[in-house]
Amino acid sequence: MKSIFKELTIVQLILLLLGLFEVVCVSFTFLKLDLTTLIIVYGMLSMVVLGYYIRVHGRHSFLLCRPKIRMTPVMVAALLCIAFQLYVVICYQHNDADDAWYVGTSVTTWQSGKLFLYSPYNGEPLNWANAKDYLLSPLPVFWAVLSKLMHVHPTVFCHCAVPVLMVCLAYGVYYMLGRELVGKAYVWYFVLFTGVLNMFGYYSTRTTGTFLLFRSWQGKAVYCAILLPLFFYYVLKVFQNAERRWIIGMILTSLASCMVSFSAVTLTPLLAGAMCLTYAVYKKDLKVPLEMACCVIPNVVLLTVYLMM
Amino acid sequence: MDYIKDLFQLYNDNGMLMLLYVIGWLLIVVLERKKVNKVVFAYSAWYLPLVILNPLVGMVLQRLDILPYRMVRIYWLLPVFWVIAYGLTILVMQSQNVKKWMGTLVALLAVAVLVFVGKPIVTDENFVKNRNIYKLPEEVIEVVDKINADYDAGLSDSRKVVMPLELAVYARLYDGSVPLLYGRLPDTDESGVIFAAMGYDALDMQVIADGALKLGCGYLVLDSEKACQNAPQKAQVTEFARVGKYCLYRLN
Repeated sequence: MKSIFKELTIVQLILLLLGLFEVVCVSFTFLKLDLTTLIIVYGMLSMVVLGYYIRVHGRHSFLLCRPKIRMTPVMVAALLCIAFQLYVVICYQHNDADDAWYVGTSVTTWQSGKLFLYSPYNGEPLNWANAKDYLLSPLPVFWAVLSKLMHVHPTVFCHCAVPVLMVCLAYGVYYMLGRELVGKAYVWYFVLFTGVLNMFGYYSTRTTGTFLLFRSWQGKAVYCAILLPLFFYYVLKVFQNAERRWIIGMILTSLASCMVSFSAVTLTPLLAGAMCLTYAVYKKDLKVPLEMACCVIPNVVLLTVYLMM
Repeated sequence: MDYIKDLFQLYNDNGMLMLLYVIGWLLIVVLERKKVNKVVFAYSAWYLPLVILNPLVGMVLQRLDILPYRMVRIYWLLPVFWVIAYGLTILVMQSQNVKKWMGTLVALLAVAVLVFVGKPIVTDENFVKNRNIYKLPEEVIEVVDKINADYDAGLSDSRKVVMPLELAVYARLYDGSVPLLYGRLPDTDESGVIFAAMGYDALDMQVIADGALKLGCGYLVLDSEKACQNAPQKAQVTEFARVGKYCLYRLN
């Protein structure tokens, strides 16, 4: 356990906390426990995980190191692009009908203190047969938990705070990915082009940029704009150097993806399977693809639960 | 084949995005020297054309009644935006190796092309200035507040509301305790009848009011700009407030 924690990066720690929420929340939903119990138990578990992580990494001064930043014109352009998107998500609103479910679930959970007992549409008792996939991907409940802890109305939290967080996280992931692909010298070009694509990518309502800027608080947006590129990042790292920590990264990203969107339960295995096959053919190795395939274990478990419901 | 076409258009409309993806893909395949990067970002997508461009798969999905708007999510597995960005970045890198100013020129041209062929997301149609901290339509907040105030004053036995869909979708985002007859979709056949009646161009207030009362509703919100077949007095409802174009009625 200590050796695994020692290898975890901060990003993987966040994914671990999201994955932990998935396990705890889904279990508590089926046990018909309430929101307060969920907050207490998840809060305690998170503190334990966080505390252990800090204890293991405590000797490292990564929190104290100051990276040397050299401002270049392309970096300024990329940051301006991101800043404009932040300005739009802060000062403007886009109303989406899907919020009736997603944000509605957060508000209903926050207000009633119960997990998936009432329909966010009309307040009547919820028939789980009509909401199986949402029960198994409780991102709206996660927003309700954070809203409760911060004493903020969930709609305000989802519409005001979450978009800022998601845009920053998304570009953080794009920076990580770009740095692996093109190196430190050209990463800001990658970020700039991605930013421009996001701003001028309204080819349909289903592109990454549309999801990120229109409805970043919804699970499918988090999945396709943040977690999928993160998954590609870890796959790239595995292809470069199949160390345990990158495979752990794939597993944690897959688990966190299941937490945010039920689409991930079926889509991630498809992607992982293709990557495993590609690795096997490219590197002529079966051991690493089998380890990579472990990232679909959470998906298989959730799909089994879904089919049994 | 129609299914595949619908899927394609749902994701990228006129195909420009996929064209950019193919250009990015070609740039990676031709210019990238690191084989690992090529394999992960170009060659690993080998399976997707077998699915998303395969008419046989389209036929099977159509037979299984899987709607295209559900299946279009498979396009997310293509790292479209990042392949385009990556391809363009490699082009800039190679251009800079020739002459430094060429790299800058290529970058500017690339941005110009993306802007010119793309469609802006930030438009008046897609975004409006915030009017409240909830980022909800202002009418929703006022309607719910007025209904709550009326109910709290003891003027109605039930707080359950029937409202137009454009309000019903957001009402519970403001106040999660407001019971509605239906939200985005009706849950039952009975509420489905009222849901349908509320969607007509001409409203039959008698049918709506009677049906809503029978289902335990205390309030009715109607769009005054829609034609109404019965007068409120005949439908035995009491108008107690107006919010913009919406009339708020108490069901007697």
